[in-house]
Amino acid sequence: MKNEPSDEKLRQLLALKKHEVPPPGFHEQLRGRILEQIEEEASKKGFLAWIRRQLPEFEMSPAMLGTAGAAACVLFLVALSPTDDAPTQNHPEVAVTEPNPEILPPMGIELADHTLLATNSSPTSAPPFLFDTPSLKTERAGFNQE
Amino acid sequence: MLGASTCMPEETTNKQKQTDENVLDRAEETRLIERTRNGDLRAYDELMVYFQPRIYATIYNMTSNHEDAADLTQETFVKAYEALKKFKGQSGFYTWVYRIAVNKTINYIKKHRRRKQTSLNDVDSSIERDPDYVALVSDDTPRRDANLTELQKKLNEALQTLSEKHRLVVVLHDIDGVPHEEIAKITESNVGTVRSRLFYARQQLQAALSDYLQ
Repeated sequence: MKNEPSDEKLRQLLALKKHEVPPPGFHEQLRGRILEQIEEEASKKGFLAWIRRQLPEFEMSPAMLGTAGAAACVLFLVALSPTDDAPTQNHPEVAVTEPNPEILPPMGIELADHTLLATNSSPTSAPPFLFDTPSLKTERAGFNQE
Repeated sequence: MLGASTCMPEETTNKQKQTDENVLDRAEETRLIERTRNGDLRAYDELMVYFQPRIYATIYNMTSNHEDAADLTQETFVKAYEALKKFKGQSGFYTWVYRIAVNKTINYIKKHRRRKQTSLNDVDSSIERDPDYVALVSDDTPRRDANLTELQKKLNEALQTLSEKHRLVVVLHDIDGVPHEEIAKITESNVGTVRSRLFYARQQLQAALSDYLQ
């Protein structure tokens, strides 16, 4: 490809772009920015390397890791399992507290019965009419005006 | 921000003077790279003194945007520092960094294709003494009357009409003066491809800048 005169003129024209220069001190400032970023990245990497060095302290063997995982799963399933072993007997459960002979009632108070009872009444029986459908009176709407 | 101009060692400042001459022999380059690999940031600063203005200029001519060029130059040198351990020295450091810069710039341009904002640098006063400029304005053509800012704008607009690959070869060859063989290494293509891209790109530019090339 031979250089034509118009090629030479174009080259001259393009060569003028060398004179487009950034403001004074720009390159020095840019170098400073670059070095600053390199130092920042290096300190970040240093921190990550430190974390990685600490990790082996907590590392477990695959067998232990598997056991721990399985245990965690079992615990999770137990926690999620439905509590269908709730008491179904009809008679109320009674918690009986035996009086402690070492604990004396305050002076002047006599206890008629030394047994304290805590009770809940039939937890499985629903109150009456709770599940009955309500009997509402409905009237058909009409368009005839009286 | 580091005040590089204030904290730079004298050695670095002296090297700054040589930047225009692009003088950095291979042995010195290897020594600086080795020191950088050992964590000496001063050595990397010295390497940047040589290469950063050229890399910036290429990216600037590719993007026609000062801020983008600054950001991409920064990204290029941070990436180059991180990847320096992988640098095997098969090509020169200059070619290697250029490749990083070129890839970053082309990716950036592709991503921001719709955003065609120009933010141009000023033209330095030395242009008045540039023989190319003197030759251009001494002819009796429309460009004689055109002011420098307008010419600069036209040139950048014309460059932006080229595809990234064509723009790249024009910028590297006709503006930065990089030889065909080196461009082939940077762009990871062959010399024939570089020459044909350059030929096509020049044709496009001649059409876009016909007023200035009569």
